Amino acid sequence: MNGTPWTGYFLDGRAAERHAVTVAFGTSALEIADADGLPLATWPYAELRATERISAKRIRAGQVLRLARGEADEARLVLSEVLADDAPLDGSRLTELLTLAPQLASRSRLSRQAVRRFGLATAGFAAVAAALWFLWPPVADLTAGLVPRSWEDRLGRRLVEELLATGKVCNEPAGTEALDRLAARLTESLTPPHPVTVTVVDRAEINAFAAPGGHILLLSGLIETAGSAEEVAGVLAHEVGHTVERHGMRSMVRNLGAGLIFELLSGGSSLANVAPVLTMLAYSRDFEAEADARAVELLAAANIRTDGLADFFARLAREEEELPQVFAYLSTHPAAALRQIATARGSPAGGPAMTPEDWAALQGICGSAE
Amino acid sequence: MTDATFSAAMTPPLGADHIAAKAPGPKEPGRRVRYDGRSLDLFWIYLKNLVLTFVTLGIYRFWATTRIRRFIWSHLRFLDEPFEYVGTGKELFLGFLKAMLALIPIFIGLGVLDFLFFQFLPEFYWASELLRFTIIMSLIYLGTYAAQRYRMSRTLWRGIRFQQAGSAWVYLGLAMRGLLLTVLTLGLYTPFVNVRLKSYEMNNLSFGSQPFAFDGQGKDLFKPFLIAWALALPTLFLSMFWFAARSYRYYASRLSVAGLRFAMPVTGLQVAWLQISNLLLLVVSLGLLYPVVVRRTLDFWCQNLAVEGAVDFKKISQAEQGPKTGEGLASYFGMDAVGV
Repeated sequence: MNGTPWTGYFLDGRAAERHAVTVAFGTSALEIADADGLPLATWPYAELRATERISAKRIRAGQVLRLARGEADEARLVLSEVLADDAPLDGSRLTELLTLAPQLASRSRLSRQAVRRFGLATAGFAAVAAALWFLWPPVADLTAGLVPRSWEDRLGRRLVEELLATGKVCNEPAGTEALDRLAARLTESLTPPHPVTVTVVDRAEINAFAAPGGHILLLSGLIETAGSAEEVAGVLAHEVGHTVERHGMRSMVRNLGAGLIFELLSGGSSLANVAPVLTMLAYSRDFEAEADARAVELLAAANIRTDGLADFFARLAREEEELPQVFAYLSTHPAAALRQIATARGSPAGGPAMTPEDWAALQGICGSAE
Repeated sequence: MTDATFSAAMTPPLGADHIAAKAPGPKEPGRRVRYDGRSLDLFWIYLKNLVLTFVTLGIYRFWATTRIRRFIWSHLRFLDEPFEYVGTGKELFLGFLKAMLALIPIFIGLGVLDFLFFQFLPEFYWASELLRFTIIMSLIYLGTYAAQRYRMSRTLWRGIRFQQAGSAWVYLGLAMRGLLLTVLTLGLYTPFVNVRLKSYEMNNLSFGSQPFAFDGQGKDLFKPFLIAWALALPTLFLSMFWFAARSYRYYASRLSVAGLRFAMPVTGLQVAWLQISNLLLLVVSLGLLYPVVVRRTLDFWCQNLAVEGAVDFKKISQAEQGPKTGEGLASYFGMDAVGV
């Protein structure tokens, strides 16, 4: 075919020295010989591999071809003058080589087999993730159930202490008494009894927390925003609902485990930062709905009208634009609109949450009102 | 040194060594490393990687990293011979699985310990936090060294592997001791620990049978560091760029391998401009200009690296085989540096 020998250099994978070589096409292998014509290596066509993919159409004069034998061998054959200047591709040495070793020009590295493997791996990964997603909550709840009440109580107290460090505790005696009376009424119907301690913190944000062990925190911004005692009662009942269902402990265990699982599965990729937030939101949505349902039961048992919580959220939704601090509440709770649906069962039947005097005292629990 | 002493190292694109010895001198004396990758080519790889990683829920990322490395390595040329990356996605994937198995008990143990401290010894909670910090830092150092070992073992030049010997545990010991002393001296120990770690790393690196040698000493960088340290607040820490450039110059001047010596005459202003402009490019383009950042970074270092000396390539033989799987631990802590 082509009379002139193909020249280049050979790296034998044993020393770093380059050997000037000429290459000839044998019957079943490429024959590599040094400058004196002594054979250096014989590489079967079937085992040839290009370290960089060859695209016959894009090959240009002066381009270099780097060949290896198989995957593990470090020897390299570097061929120059792949295509002589102005020479046609047809009938060239390159075409001849590509005919003998067609795998050198195979276009895509992502073979059908690779696509199938990646598809299977992805499906498997998704299945494991889904299984963990559904299996983890019951396992976590079981684990949370094993935690002794005294531990839970201590944990809750520690968390509350940390939160209390962010603001002054409001404890005007009349207001505290009014609040304690309301809390006692709400928990009266519970068997076994669930003691709760309610603390008001002087902070402008509209928010409330239920820490493990029945430690409930109300921020004074919430009491100031509420339009009636029934709205506060609704929120308090919701937090008592969290306590009764041990949501604090359960979400702690759930989130810890979910965080660990995602950290391990995603291995530091950016997914790791988003996923725990997503699970936390998903878990908390279940818990919020559960607490809402509990709240309605508790309010009804205490003979308090049950639409207070719904009213409160309706107000938040209406005043959203006027009150930027509302977002502080919404960010840790599902959208107000969703909550309204959940609490829509509330009804105006039932009595008031407290006497007008008690309500006035509760509004003044932080001392001199602004 | 002059070009005359360089003769054996010069090699025209396709000649063998004995031909190269007679070749004429280079246009830019000493500048031997080139990056000739086209940003557009890298961009397509990068884009394809993004899509495939997304579609496979992240599983493809090991193969994505491998593709990027293959491209960059193969376009980085020293003495007109390209480097070659021979690692595979599968090795990285298996390394990741191994790291995962090792991390499960560690993470669970830390979680339980954290909880117990919070519950029963709240006044000693800081001890739990300190322990967690120490363990995470240790994992980062171990992972970094192991990753370097893997990367070097998969880097080929002239058909010869690099080799990172040494022990990740010894490296960890040096690093933790350095960290402690740095904290105790309010940062003043920094140049000593930097040079000590660089020294351990470099003196355990070899190209085939040829070891690298690094004879740097922390005390040589102490004065520059003191100046940069004193000026840190008034200059909003920009003085640290100057110190970084000073360190690079020093490291390069103290490094040698197979009769080659190096120089890296960069200035603080250049380093600052490179890093700040790269950061801006990435932020403004939401990461899409990554290929441009890679090219700028490599161009910068290649253009500033001067190499002098003569090599007898016949005397450099193959290195031992490297590890079977790769850098799982490092990938957990975001150690995949830009460009790699």
